[in-house]
Amino acid sequence: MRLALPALLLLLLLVGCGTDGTPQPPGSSDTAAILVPLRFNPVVNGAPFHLDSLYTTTHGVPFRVSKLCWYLSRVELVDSTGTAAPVTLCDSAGHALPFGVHMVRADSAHSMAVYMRIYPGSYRGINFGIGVPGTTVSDTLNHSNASIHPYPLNVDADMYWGWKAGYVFFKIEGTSTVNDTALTFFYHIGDDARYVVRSLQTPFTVQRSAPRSVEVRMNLAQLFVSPTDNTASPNLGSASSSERLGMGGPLADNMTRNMRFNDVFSLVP
Amino acid sequence: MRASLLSLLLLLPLLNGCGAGESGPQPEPLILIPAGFPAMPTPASNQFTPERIALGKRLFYDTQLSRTREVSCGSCHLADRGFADPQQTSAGVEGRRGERNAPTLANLAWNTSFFWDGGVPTLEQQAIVPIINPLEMDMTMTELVARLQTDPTYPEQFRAAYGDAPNPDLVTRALAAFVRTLVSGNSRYDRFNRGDRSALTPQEQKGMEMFFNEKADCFHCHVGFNLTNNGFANNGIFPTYPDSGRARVTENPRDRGRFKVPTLRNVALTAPYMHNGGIATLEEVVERYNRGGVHPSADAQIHPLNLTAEEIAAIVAFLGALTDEEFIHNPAHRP
Repeated sequence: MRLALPALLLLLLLVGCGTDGTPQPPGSSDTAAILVPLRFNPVVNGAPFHLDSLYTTTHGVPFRVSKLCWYLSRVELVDSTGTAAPVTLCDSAGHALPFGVHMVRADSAHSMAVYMRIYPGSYRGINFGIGVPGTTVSDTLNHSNASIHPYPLNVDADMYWGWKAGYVFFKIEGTSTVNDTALTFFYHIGDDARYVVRSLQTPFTVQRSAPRSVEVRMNLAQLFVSPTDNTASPNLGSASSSERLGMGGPLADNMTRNMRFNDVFSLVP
Repeated sequence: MRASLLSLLLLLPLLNGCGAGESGPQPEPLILIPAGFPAMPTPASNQFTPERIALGKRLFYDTQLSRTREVSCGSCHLADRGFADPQQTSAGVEGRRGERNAPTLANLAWNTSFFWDGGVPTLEQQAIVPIINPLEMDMTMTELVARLQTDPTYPEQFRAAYGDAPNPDLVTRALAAFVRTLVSGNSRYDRFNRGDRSALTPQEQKGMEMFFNEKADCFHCHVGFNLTNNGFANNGIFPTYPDSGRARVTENPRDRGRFKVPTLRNVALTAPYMHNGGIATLEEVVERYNRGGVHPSADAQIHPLNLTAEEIAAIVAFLGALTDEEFIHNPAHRP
């Protein structure tokens, strides 16, 4: 995965919006919305993240990640008055994504960015969801029949439970080393109760004349921190099969809490 | 079930192109709903047509659905076995073994959830799982659709059934349409209920009486026209449950060891029994229930029954009377 921002991803594409419901921030005189990349930048405690590279959790447990993917949904921008408004997510050609859902995959640099159709202006922050909403336009997207959906909600996207009508929201797999023994770990986190809504409050400005992407840093080390005790279990070294019940289990609950409240995600100023 | 309807079978009014007041020969009904059964729920997007049922049947018995072209749905759901599998766990591609016993497909049209842990709410969604399960067909929808689209006859058959080329949605809809036709409701037990007092032997009648009384207590779970409450229960038969059962779906530890209460229709043909296929005979099943639960989280109604050997034999005989020979031998269900 490349962490540097390719020039192409900074390209802002003019689109003929203005009547499509895209909210316009207060004070903006622009009459046309533009496509702005929303880029996710995974790191481990400041170090660039790469699949299969060796890292260490805050508990001192060495680990490698072989798979990392998750759904992004319900993106909103918060304007200078504090009002949040939904953002239309698009592909690089400006086509709106079905249900506003995008899959971020660590094995695909292309997937690390998705495009927001927004107006230039000043914003206070961004809200987004991690997972597939249980209620959306179709009311039950998370529990719908995956065979009717295109990528990334299709059956073959490797995120549909199958045995349960629902999607894996966040998937991380790899190995950890405890007492010189390599152990595999795999966390497939889902279920409506684990849908994460994250609000990142860092002001930023989108200018038509000085394009930039909106960058969200994702610190994977913070995933494995106990939310109540920074020295206690659970951590990757102690994770047992009993912690992986159904759609996650206790450690997945901790990961979910970390995504909600800890510094897993941060908005780069 | 104490229905005493006179008619043997009611005709489900799924008539094609049959306008009100239209005269002339009546079309053949697409499916027969047994007397005493409720109306069959079918999704608006997947109403029966002959073309859809035929397509679903072809897919059901087609080994192209598996990656290696070794197994079809019909490989593990055998008509002679009440559309269950005599193996404890079924063999998928390359001999891979599944994790649970393949259940009967009889009367799934009325089921409210699917699989032993009930994680899937519709037959259409259920159809996805064996196709993509690495232990069963180990297929991707992408590859399956590619095979169907390049088949000499499938594309035309899909268009005739659904007006479109093969795609994942239509595969699952067609399979569900066929499985919904697997209706079983003409066992000797059913005929007895409809008034044929000679349909059951005295021993079977004794067994039926036991089945529905408080002593044997079978009917609290195996109730209604399909002999299931569609609920989930820990029957306490096994001392431990390595398979988390319903808890996999709910993540509630109290649901560990709870599994879907299956229909008992054609149960004499569907051995081995339980979610893991761990009990070989009906006699052993009833004897285990007679001893009461051995698991600490067994449901409250599981308790020693104090049945005599004669009563156990009668119950087993009654369960044998739930076999529906017409269902088993129906050529419409077979390849």
